[in-house]
Amino acid sequence: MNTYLNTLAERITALANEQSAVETAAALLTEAQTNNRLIHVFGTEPATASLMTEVFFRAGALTNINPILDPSLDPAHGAYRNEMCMQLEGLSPCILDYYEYVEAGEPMLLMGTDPAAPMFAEALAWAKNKGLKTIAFVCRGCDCDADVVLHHGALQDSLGGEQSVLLCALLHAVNDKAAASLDDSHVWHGTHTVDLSANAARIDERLFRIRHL
Amino acid sequence: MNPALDYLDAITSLVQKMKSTENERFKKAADVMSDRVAEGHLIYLWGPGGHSSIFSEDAMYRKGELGALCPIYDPNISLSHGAAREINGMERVEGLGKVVVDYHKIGKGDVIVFGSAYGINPVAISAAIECRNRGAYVIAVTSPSFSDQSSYAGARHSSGKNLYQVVDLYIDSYVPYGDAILEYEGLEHKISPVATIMQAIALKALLAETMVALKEKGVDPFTWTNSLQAGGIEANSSYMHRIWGRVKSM
Repeated sequence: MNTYLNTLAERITALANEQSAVETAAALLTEAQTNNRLIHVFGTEPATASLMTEVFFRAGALTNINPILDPSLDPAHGAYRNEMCMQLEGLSPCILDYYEYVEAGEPMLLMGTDPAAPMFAEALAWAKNKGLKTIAFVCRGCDCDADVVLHHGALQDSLGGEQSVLLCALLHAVNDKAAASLDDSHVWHGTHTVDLSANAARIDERLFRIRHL
Repeated sequence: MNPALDYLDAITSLVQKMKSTENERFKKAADVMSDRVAEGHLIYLWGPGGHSSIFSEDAMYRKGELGALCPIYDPNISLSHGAAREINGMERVEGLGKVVVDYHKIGKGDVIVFGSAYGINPVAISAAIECRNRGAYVIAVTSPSFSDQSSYAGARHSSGKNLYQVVDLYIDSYVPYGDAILEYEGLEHKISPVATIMQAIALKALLAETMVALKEKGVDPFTWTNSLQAGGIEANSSYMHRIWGRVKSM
């Protein structure tokens, strides 16, 4: 194996240290899902934003995941533009205010390399102000004032590929832990893709509640 | 030569034609639309084509415009993701019409206004047919003479029909065949298209007729306030929250 894969293997193994935080986060997701509340997910940079789709409308993913997908962070609208947008103060609350179905007590997963960056810090403040239960996914050595903080093991200055893979693994760990404690009516059915016929009722229930469904 | 004035004269002439023939259709369409709004329905608006998409974008969340609208903004049928992508490709994918109608759950009792000046593209026609099959009342703002003269064989619906032939009611926007309207010696082709303006004028006239028809039926039509003016956001917020969850484009 090359160095990259060796490092990744070590880091993924080390994610076991996050077990307690994974369980705490998963319990919040389970509670929300059980009470038919939404679970908001916001990746605050282009790379972390793309990871939201890992647990959105995907076979085995929780049905109430509500991703915050904004053109500001979507490379389809310009990668260079994304990088400029993510530095802007005041943009994060503007993005989040657009999502109408956000209620106190619901969990919000925030993912970012730098918790001090405006997009992440302002999103966290916004979520706390709304009374959301905040779950932050951050780099090793970083911290923030979220209710639950999970460290994905990559350093802030490590190459992006390492961070994305580790964050993705941790995100799936939380989703899967929550899904395992629920009956299968709470996850999208399918194999590699969501089976539209098998999920028709679940889609209808959420089509206008989850903006990007 | 005075191209600016020539253009304005040309638009004025087309508007005069619309005034002289379309009043009855405006009233009929507004009667149906106001009935449906009074029953609690929203009016769907869709410009299913490249520049036609402006048709539905223009009417949304705008001062003095009817609130009970549900414009459809589809990323495949929009210039904002690439003009050539849409015009040369997407609007010819017939199946997209049904996908969009299904996604927005348009059905029995709904009314939808399609805006397509040329009135020939496969997405527009397949969507209109799908809406009627589902029991919706379908209105088009379109130019039948443009459609009938069109020789754009590669961009036609498989049925060979035009939009005005598959709807319940159409309003003629009088966009001339070819769209561009001015012709000058030395210029190889005609210049200055009119479709967007004529389509927008027809829609504005139709919505004005609808708002007044609603009032005459005893229903106060909610109209948007400019959200940039003092108190504007607050004036709009109550109605906005009523339609959250019903209007994906809000």
